[in-house]
Amino acid sequence: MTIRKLSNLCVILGAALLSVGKAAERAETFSEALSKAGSDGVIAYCYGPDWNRRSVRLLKTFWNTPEAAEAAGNAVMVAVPFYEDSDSPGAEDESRIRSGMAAPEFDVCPTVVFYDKNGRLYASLQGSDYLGNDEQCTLGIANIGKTIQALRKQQELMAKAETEEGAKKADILAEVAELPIQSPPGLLDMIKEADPKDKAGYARRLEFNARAFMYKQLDTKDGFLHPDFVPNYNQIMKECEAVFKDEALRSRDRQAVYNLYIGQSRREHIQSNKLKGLIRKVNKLDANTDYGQLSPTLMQLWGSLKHKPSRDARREAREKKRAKDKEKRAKKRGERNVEIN
Amino acid sequence: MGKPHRQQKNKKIFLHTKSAKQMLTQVGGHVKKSKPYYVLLLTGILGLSGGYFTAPQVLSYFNELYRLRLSGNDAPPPPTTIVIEEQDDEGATPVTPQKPDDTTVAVTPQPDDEEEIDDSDIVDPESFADSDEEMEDDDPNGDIVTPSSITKYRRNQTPDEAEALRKPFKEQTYTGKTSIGNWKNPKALKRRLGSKLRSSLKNTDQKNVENFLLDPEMRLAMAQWELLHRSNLENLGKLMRDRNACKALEPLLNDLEWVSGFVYDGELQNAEIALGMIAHFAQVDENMFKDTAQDGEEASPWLKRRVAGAIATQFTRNGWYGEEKELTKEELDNMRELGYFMPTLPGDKKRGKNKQDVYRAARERYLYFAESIDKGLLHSKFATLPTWQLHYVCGWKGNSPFGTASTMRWLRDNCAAPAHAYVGMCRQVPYLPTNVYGDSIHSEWYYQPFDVLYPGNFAKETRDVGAVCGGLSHFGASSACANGVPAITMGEPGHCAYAVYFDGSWHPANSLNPEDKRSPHYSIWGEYTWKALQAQEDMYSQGAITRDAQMVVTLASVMAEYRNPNNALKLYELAVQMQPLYRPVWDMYLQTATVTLGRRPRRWLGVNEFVCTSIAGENPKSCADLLIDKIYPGMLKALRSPKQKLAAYEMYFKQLNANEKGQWAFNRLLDMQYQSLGKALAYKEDYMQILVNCVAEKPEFCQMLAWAIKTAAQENKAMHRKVLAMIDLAVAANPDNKQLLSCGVIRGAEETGDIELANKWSKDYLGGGGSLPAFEPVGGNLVSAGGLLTLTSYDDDQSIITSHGAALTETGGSVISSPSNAEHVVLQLQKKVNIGGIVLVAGGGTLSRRGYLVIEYSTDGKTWKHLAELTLEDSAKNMMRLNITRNHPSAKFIRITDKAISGEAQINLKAILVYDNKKVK
Repeated sequence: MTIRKLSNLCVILGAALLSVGKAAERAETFSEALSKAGSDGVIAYCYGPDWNRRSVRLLKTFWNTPEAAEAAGNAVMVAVPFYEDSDSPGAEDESRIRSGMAAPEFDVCPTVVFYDKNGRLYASLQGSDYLGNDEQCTLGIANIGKTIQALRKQQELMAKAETEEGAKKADILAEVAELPIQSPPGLLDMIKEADPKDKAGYARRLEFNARAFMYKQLDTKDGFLHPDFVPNYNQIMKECEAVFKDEALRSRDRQAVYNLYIGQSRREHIQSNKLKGLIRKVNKLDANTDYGQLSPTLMQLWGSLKHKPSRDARREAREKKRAKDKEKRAKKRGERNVEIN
Repeated sequence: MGKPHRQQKNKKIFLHTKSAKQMLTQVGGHVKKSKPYYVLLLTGILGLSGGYFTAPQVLSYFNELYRLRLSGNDAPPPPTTIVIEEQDDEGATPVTPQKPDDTTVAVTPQPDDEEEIDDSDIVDPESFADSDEEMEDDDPNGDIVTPSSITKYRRNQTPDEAEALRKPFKEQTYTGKTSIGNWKNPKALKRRLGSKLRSSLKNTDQKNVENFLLDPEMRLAMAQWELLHRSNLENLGKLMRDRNACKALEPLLNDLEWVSGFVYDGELQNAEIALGMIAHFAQVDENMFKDTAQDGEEASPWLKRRVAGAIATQFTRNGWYGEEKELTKEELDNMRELGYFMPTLPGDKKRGKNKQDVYRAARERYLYFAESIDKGLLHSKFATLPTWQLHYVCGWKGNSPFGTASTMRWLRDNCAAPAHAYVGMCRQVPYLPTNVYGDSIHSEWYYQPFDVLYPGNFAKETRDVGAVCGGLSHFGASSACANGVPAITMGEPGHCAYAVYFDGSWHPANSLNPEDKRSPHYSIWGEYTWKALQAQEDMYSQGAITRDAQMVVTLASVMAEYRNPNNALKLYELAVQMQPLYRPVWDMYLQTATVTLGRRPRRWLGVNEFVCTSIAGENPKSCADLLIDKIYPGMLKALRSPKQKLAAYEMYFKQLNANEKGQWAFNRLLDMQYQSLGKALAYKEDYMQILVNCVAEKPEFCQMLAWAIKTAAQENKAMHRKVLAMIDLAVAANPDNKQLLSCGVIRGAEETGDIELANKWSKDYLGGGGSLPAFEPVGGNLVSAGGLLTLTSYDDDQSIITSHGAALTETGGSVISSPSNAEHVVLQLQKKVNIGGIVLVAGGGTLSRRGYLVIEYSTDGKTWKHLAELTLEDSAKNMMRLNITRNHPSAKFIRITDKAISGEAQINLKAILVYDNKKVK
């Protein structure tokens, strides 16, 4: 182990020791908080003094409690007002308090926003889904603790990654990408640099876009299906199977891709046993994701669907195909001397 | 020329036996209790006239006599001389009164007069109209409604007073003394209230009415009468005989502020069902009358009761509950059968788990808001919202999955934002036309697999699964309403948007179209336009005047119900003067006018003028709709002379506001006016001249010229020539307006297929289109120049029509249609040619807005042959070159169709260039 590695380890251990049992410090303004910020960064509580009474009440029952401070570790805590009316008493201080703060995407209150020591927004907890419905925000306190832990883990991994090179470094960086907070900027480039040939498939994992894959298969750019487009079932099956087998990808992405295969199979009226098998496969891959959880419902909804189209549908399809062929022939005749560019 | 109008002959009154009999029946009943003395007198008059009086005439005469008595002259009136003339050539017996003097009483209606009518005399006001009979303008100097005779509603003349009126309106605090026992017999109560109002209102003079409105007791009586008027009295009686309902409603029904808000601040349609609901709310929420929030902060007084009123009003609107599935008559009847007050939920046993259970949905909604108010969870301004805005918030789509209490609770707890931020709240939902299974948003499978993960929470499901414009807009609007901020969804062509209310006005969100293409999904008075939404806001922001006007309307309704249509008409007129934005009054006013005015031409002209001067300037479309639907049917029967009709029509065109773009369809109005002039071409020419003069002064309405050219061409060649000559003269007199006028003419030429006319008016605008991107030549010589374009629709911006000609040349111009489901443009070439190539240049980035282009050709403009179909990729380009290398088709017409895959199609091209296959000259 090199001296550099040892010193890094000491820093991490030191930080961990310092953070144990220490309650967060509080600041009046965001810039003050940032200037005081240590490795746990800044946590801002956004509330609406002149329009959201609950968020004001939570200042007392949640934000300013020792429980919240404890969960925040050694982050600096600051309460930031979001006024609706610039004439409201106290509104003149808003810009001073918020100065230098990157706002969350939606002005929803109450919100807890997390910044690292450089002022980068890396997580936010908005609304009762993440903070809870009770006046003490028990869920919110737990989530603050988890988020701070994730940041520490991220910092630890990034520090570790700096000491490594090549595939090992790529492994560590890939672990960073899986943390439930925003990754540091340029993480993908760092992974590509560490593993230029993407042998581990991490870059592929981060760059994979299940929706874009689906739109490509359905020949659509904006998601609207062309009325005359007939998907190539075999092609879809082949492509989806290939992606599903790619273990470098996240299981949810693989499930999403397989969902297209399932949907297309249903539309093609394949045998119900085969359809059930596909659904089971998704569940088997990861039963904890939302797609995994949906499997029993899909079994119920689609597992018993008739695999053959009705007589009318078959007739309709035949007629449609005949008309289409006729149109194609006519079009071919008319366009054989036309060049479009 | 038409037959001389009767009015021009002399003052005659035509009396018919049938009418006299009718009058006898009415008047006999009318006076049987209080005025036996006059029965004899009237009978005598009828006898003298040989039974040839019309009921309204004699009744008016009777009124005149009675007025004399009221004015202190108890002695019988002086002897009356009625001169009966011979019958005229139409079989009627003209009666010409002598010059009025001391001993002669003209038999004329006296609309100013008051009547004191017994309570039992409530009759159908229509019985006063003798619509089959033509009447003379028998009161030329009397009660004619003209702008000159209309004094502006001057109650608030000073700027300070006017400003005061714009402040939030608060009704007087007053508790009435009507015993709740009286409500058990609503019919009797209504009669008593009506009688009280009529006897207290001495006359219908503005000042007197104003003073009358100051009395809180009278205000409460008016609001209560209106409430009864909007109820099924028999069923209301049943409800009020329920002890629990009575107990719950007693504090409300005697409270002026609550009753007037309940009755006037929304569209209350089934009042007794709504009251039943409120009683039910009061029982399930013990704190309904306690308005203190949990955090100790004082909530707005009466907030929960106002919320209850708003929810009950909205959930009992006819056809409202269930935008997707309307509340059927059977369901309403079912509710009635079950009784209006239901201490336990209605139909739990009888109706099973019926999703249409209005009571259950309304109760859930009320409990949601009651809980949110108690816990102080809503936007702080919710407590300050006026009652009419509570209708938007609390009445938000009860039938929609976005309107369930569980969904609203989630939105409240997760999407609480400052009011202005709701404009962007829809962006929380990803725009995904297909779900992860590849199922389209239009299929049943888009959400169904996910329902199990989001039980009862459609908002969260939408956010996680995705949606298109409709889902996005509903998410944005419902998140606002769930948090107590008024919002509304709106339809736009091929799109769904929404609007949020803050800072004193409505703000569009997720909107792609201009104002005139927005149709809000809810309206207080059933007019679903953006303008109407703003008008409602304007109207209610003048709260004091509006409430007074609404109460005057109630008074008018009392008068109408107690067969005093003349006073009713006067009160309606006063109400529309007070608050012209209160649209429903116009309907009532015109309904009463139709019943009362019969065939009095001058009165009709007065009404026409009043409507035009009041509305046409700012709302030409609404005015035209009123004219077509409410005024012309009656007025055109009364007006015999085309000259009078022309005068009436001119009034509308005079009032049009030049700043108001005339982008709505004038054709319906213009067609009706033109057809009404009959076959006399001279009058039709005059009409065309009026139109041309109007457009010459207000060229924004140039599309009316297109109508004139098209109609004249259909009439005959001479008329067509004359109209064109009129336009030439108008352009010469108004050279500054030439371009816009040319737009009208070119559009007319295009709609009539007049290639010469189009070229004549386009020639000045061929060079101004800018330049086209360079392209490799196709075919031979350019043959599209000098052609004629025909569009399925025209863009709102009329001024671009002059560049249609340039779009057919290599300088480029602009051809834009209005977005719709199917759009095409047809190019008519000057002669038949063999097509060598076509070049299309996009006007707005891509050749097709949301689809692909199809090109066809024809030799006759009727039978079309396929030439080419662009792929989606080609259609997304800025330019297309179509080169035909052999077998050149012979064509005179080229049709380009934009086929949209989703949303709307729209032609937007900078150039349509067609080349032949000959060697380039």
